Parts: sequence; structure tokens; C-alpha cells
Amino acid sequence: MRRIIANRLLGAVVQVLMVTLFAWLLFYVIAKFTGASPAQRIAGKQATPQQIALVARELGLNKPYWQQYLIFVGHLIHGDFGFSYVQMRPVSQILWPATRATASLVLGAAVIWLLVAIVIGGYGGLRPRSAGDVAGRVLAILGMSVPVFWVAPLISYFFGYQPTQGEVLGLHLVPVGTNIFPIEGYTDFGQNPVQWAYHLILPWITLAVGFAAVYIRFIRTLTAEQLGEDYARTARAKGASTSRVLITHVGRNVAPTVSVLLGADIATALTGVFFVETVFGIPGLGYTGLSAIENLDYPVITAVIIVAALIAVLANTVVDLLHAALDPRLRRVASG
Amino acid sequence: MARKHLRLGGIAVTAAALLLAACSSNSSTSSTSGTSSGGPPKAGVATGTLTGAMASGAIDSMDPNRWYFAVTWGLANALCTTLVRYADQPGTAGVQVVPGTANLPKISSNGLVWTFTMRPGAKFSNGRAITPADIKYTFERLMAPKVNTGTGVYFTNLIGANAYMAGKAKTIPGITTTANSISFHLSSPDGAFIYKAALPTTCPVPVGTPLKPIESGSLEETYASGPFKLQSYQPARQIVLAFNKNYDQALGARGHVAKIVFTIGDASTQATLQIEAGQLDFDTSNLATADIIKISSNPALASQVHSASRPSLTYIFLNNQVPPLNNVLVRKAINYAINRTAILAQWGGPLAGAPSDQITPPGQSDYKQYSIYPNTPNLPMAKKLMKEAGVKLPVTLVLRCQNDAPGFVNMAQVIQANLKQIGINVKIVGSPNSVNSSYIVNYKAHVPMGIEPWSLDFPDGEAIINTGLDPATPDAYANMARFAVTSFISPFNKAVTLTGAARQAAYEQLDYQIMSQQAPYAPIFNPKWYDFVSKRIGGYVYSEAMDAINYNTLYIK
Repeated sequence: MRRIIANRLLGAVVQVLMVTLFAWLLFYVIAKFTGASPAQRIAGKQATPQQIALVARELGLNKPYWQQYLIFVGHLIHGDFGFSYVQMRPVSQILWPATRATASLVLGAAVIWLLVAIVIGGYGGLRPRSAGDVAGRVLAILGMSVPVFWVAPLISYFFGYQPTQGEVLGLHLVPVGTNIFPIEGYTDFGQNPVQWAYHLILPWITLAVGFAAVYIRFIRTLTAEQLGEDYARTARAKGASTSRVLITHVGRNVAPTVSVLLGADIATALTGVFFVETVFGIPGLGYTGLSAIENLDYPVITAVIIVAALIAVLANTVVDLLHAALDPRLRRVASG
Repeated sequence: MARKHLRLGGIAVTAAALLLAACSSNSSTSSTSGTSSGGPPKAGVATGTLTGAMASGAIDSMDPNRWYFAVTWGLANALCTTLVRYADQPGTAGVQVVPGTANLPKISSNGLVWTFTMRPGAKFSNGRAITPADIKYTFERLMAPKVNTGTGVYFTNLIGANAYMAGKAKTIPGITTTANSISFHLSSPDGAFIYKAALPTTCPVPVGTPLKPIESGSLEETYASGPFKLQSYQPARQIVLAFNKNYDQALGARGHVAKIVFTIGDASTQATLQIEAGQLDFDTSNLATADIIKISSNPALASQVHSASRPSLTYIFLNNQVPPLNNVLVRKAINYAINRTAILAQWGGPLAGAPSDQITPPGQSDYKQYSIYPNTPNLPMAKKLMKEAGVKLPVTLVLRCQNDAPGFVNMAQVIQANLKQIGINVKIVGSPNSVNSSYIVNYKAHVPMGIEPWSLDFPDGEAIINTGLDPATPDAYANMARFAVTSFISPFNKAVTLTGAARQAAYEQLDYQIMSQQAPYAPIFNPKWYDFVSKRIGGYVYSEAMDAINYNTLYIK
């Protein structure tokens, strides 16, 4: 196991270095050649060449590229993501609240999509071709077919806006002016946990729709497969209840595979929830990244890319280690 | 200068808006809570809280000598009282200059000395009186290289300003003060100086304010001079304005609400739903075209929609130094070939603006309508001009535009189709506004053509003609057409010195002459402004000078 951990962590470090190099190249070197250099941006459109050169010196852009990169990585190691000249404050002050908001959104949604998928997918695997299974599969296909940029405004419209007009799903069921869910907005957990959850219910559901659909099909297939295995038949023959077979036997074999998928999907979701954040006004990483791009705020753009990459690498590393912990075969392969 | 006004969040959001507009039933509007009946409250009485929303990226700066975007100028109008300011009136009455912290200036007979006498009662929000020394320092700060404001260029004819801006002097000798007055000594007359003295970047700050950008909002928390002060600012999250009790209503009865809370990062279409639902009072973005259509079809909401002409022009700059655009006949041919009506349709059609073939937008004192180029193509004329130009066809030209707001690429595609008819193959290059705007102003980039929206910094032809086309400075960042016809240098220089009717006539004539003789632009349209506000808002005024809602007149019904 220690060998697995060492190999995986080494791989993670290499991945992070590659991503930081990519991010640095993208916004400090390529940008220079496209005419929209960081120094020019910071110095302003009317800046003289002397002023731009002064800013470039302050940013260290006059140093050789390899030195610039090492300085950049050195600062990162110390948690220094640089300084936003657009917002005139350290990038870390911008980044961490955004990361918290996105994590709130994604982790909450992950709980929902997992619970929904385990119930519907598990049932489908247990009772294939039953009415419930067919309904679950139809739901899954629908969930996979609708893009999030369509689902997000629709959910906001039907459950946030329509009740205020006295309607729910187009039916006059509630008094005009009813506020069931906010149309958009966000409250930080630290400020008010109840409001935090209240503002995130619709975004959680929105984000969960697409992922739940995939997981329903995935868990259904895995469960059906595992139920057909000898060990499951033996457990049943020995008189184990259905729930015991599902949870203790099948669940243990399905979990490692689902955990791999979950790790990858959480990483993807953390870095790709732009539409949900935009529609529901959540100041997360996607929103911060977009805002930074609009303002050509290079340090923030770079930091968002790096944080996104760190999350992806971290999530995959944790999942790999978790997978190894859950599946003894992997540990044997690694040690053997 | 091309002041930025965000238009929607993105194409997907617009698509969603159209979808929702289609889904929308003719439902009744919600009631709003916390309302009170009656007209505006008495001067100095400010009650209730208004909620507003703004897009991400709407705030460019919270330093009062640096802000430049339209939304921040809207805030500046509430937070600052400049030497003179614009009247809190709708339409063209709103571009009239009235006394601010000072009375209207006395101008010397040669037009070179402008003296402003301070009015009693001008105070910062901490209660400290605003002195002429503060005003002098404010002007020096806004021109200080380290503060790097965008509007310092408007004051370069102050005696000693150029040396100061180059870092060769520590003060500007052209600004002098007495105990209760401040005088500006110009090297040449400036007929628009009155407007420049009302620029939001001249927002007063106290002597000794550090000569570096201060973006925390702390200056406006302590040293606001308008009817509101900044209560709190969380970048990219929230701005709260609170009524400034130290604002002397004798300077102008303004500010009728106790608090205005802005949420930063709202999508325009979502904000519209919130306003309709009674959860929000207004949005600082221009109403999306899809929402204009949706709301216009609902008579119950009509009273909540406000529209106005904007002091703005959307145009194609034609780089006079890039072949074959260096040939005036080609530039004229382009003006004859483009379909202004069809291009405007990509922006939202007649609801969203009016086609134009001239430089100065309507509503300016020096605007006089003329018609040289048609709204729909005159292809025979365009082809004739191309033939006379002797250009070997076909020729390929790059057209740059931003691609992170809906409408621009669509407009570029219409232009592409139009110009193909006269043998010009247009290659569209789209990029985010931040990249595009940095690139097209680069003289060395030799950008042949680009679609640019331009909002005037002040209501005078100088703010678009001199700033955007000064033939003496073809390498200036704002002269994207690289207009350099030397015969125009003298008329340009003369026009800025004139005042009154002579100035008006000069700019009317310049506009016509530039377009009829040189056509460095292909003007497309003048956009319109739409706001949708909650039922409980009273006193709505769109400030044409700020290109934003006037928060000083708002009250809760």
C-alpha cells in the first residue's frame, strides 16, 4: 500500500508541475506574443512604453522565462497565487471564497445524485425490466439528454420564479407572491447555514440531474452484473435477505468502481459548473474565472486553472488510493 | 472613449431567455412589499432599501479617480459631487451642467482661465469640508502616472500638465487655489472644459490621499461627497450604498432611499425574472433584447419599462493605413455596401437602436442629422467606387470583434456577406472583449477593421471626434481608424477651442466633412437603453451623461 501511495503522490506532483507550466505558458508567454501582455493590461491602454516596461520589471517579466517559471512555482508552494491588479488584492483572497462556494455546490449535488442513483439504479439492477426499472431508465435518458445550460434556467424559472406569479409548473396552485425557492443568489455557509442550504437547493438539483442519470445507468448495470455472480447466488441460497445481499455483498463490489467514477466526476464538476453558477448567481470558481477573463485578470485566470487542476489531481489521487483500499486485488498487484 | 457597458452574460443565457420568453404565460405581476404611497419624499428624507443587480465584471475600479465603466460612473454619480455636475433630469435636460461643489465657473475673456468658487456646505461624508486644495489634489491625483486613470488626457492643456504627467514635475502650476476658489489655467481655450470638470474621475479626494490605486472602496466609505456613501464593498459579491447624512441638500436635493444593495454577478435574464417576481428592484445591465420583447408583450409590465437613446455609436473602424483601406474610395464603397438595417437586426432590431451613418450620436448639442450613406446597400454605387479605386479583387481583410457578448459575431457575419458583394473577403476574428479591446488599440497590430461600440465620456462632439479620430495622433490608442489626414488637423484643433453656437456648427461640419470626404468609419447604429424596474420604484431617471440609472432620484413609492 505504501508503494501505491508513493507512486500515486509522485505522479500527482508531476501532473501538478505540468499543469502549472501549462498555465504559466498560456498566460505569461503566449499572451505576450498576442499583443495583450499582462504588463500592458496592468499599465493601462494609455501607458507609455516606459510605464509598461516599469510594470514588466515589477512583475519580473524581464527575467528569463525559466527564472520566471521557477519564481512562479516557488510562490505557489508558499500559497502565494500572486496579486490581482484588477481587483487590487491578493489572488488568494479571491480564490478561496470562490472555491468554497463551488465546493458547496458540487459536494451537495454529489450527495443528491449518489442517493438518487443508488436508489433508482439499485432497484433497476434488482428488478430489471420491471415498470420501476423502465421508468428509471427513461428518467436516466432524459437526464442525460438535457444540457445543464437548459436545465438551469428552467428549474430556476419553474421553481423560483413561477410561484411568485401564483403558479407551480404552470398550474395556479399557490397565492401570487409565494417565494418557495430563490430565483438566484448565494449565502456563505459561515454567514447563515440555513440560508446557505436554502439558496443551494435548486442549484444542487440542477447539477445533480445530469450526473444522476449517468450513475443510475451505471449502478443499475453493475448491480445486475454482480447479482448474477456466483457469490451473490450463494448468499441468496444461504438465505441472506435481499437488502443484505445488496448492501453487504453486491455493494462492496460496486463501490470501488463507483468511487473511481465519483472522484473523476467531482473533479469535473468542480471545474465545470460555470452555467449553474452563472444562472443561480453563485460566486464560485467558474464565475470567478469568467469574470477574470472578462477583465483579463491574468493572475486570477492562472490561479483558477491551477486550483482546478489541483482539485482534479487531488480527487484522482484520493480515488486511486481509496480504490486500492477498497479492492485488495489492486494492493496485491502493486506489491507483487 | 469606448466606455464599457456589459450586455448580457452570454449566448447561452440569451438562448435560455428566449426559451423562457416562449414559456412565459401572461401571468399577473407580483405585489411588492414594504411600499408606501405618495411621491418623492422631502429633501433629506431617505427611507427604505432598494436592491440592484449587476453583471460580473461591471466594476472596473472603486478608486474614485480611476473608475471608467458605465456602471461605476453610475455609482460615482451617487457617491460624488464634482465641481459641477449633470442635472438629475431625463433626456437632453440631463446633460445640462449645474453647480456641484462649486458654482458654475467664471471664464476669462480669452477663455484661458476657468475659476470655480466653492459653495458652502460641500463636505465629505465624514463631515470634513471639501476645500479648493482638495480639488487641486484630486486633479493632480487623477493625472498622476501611478494612479493611471484613463481620463487624464482630457486635461493635458492645463499649463504644466504634460510635465506633471511625464513625472517631470511634482505639481501642476496651471491649477491655483484661494481660500474658496480654484482656477484652471489653460494653454489654449477649451470649449468642453465645463464637461471635463464634471467627469466622474474628478470625484474629490482629500489632500494626501496616496498616489496609488485604492480599490478597496475605503475612499468612498469615508470621503464620499454625493448623497450616498459606500457602506461596504465585497469585490465580485456585493456593494452597499447608504444615504450620506453629511451631504448638504442645499447642493441639490438628491438621495431618497436609505440604502441601495447591489449584488454583483447576476445574469441579466435572471435579474429580469427577479424584478418581475418582486425580489429585485433593478439591474444595471441594459435589458436583453429577448426580455424587451417578452416584457413589451405584457401590458401589465409596460409601466416598469423605461427606454432612452444612448450617447453611443456602434461602428466599424476602417484602418486608413492598411491597404486597400488606405484608399478613400474603398472606405466609401464599404459605407455604401453594408446593410445597416440588417446588421442592427442582429443586435435586436429597431427596439435595440437606430441605424446611423454619422459619427456623433443624436442628443448631443452638436448633432445635426445628415444622410450620406444608405441604411440598405447601394451596390451599384459601391461597385463603381471599388472599380474607380483600382483595387485588384478579391481582397481579404480581417474584421475583429468581441465574441463574449451576443450580437457582435452575428453583426460581423452580415458585414462579411455584404462586403463579399464588392469583392472583399472578410475574415472574422472574434475574441473576448478583454483581449479584443487590448489588441485593436495597438497601433503596431495594424488591425484592418473592427466593430466597436463607443460611448461618449461627455455630451460633446469632441468626445468622439477628437478623441477617436484626432489626425495629429494616428498612433493614439483610441484612433483605431489611424486617421491621419493632415488637412483635418487644423479644423480639429480649432473646434476644441470654440464655444457655444460656433462650436456646435464646427462639430456639425466636421462630422459631415469627415464622413463625406474620408469615411474613416462605417457607422452602423446608435443603441438604445432599456431598463426594467420594480413596481415600487419611483423617480426613475436614466442619466444620459453617465449612461446609467440615476440613483439620486430613486425613491420607494
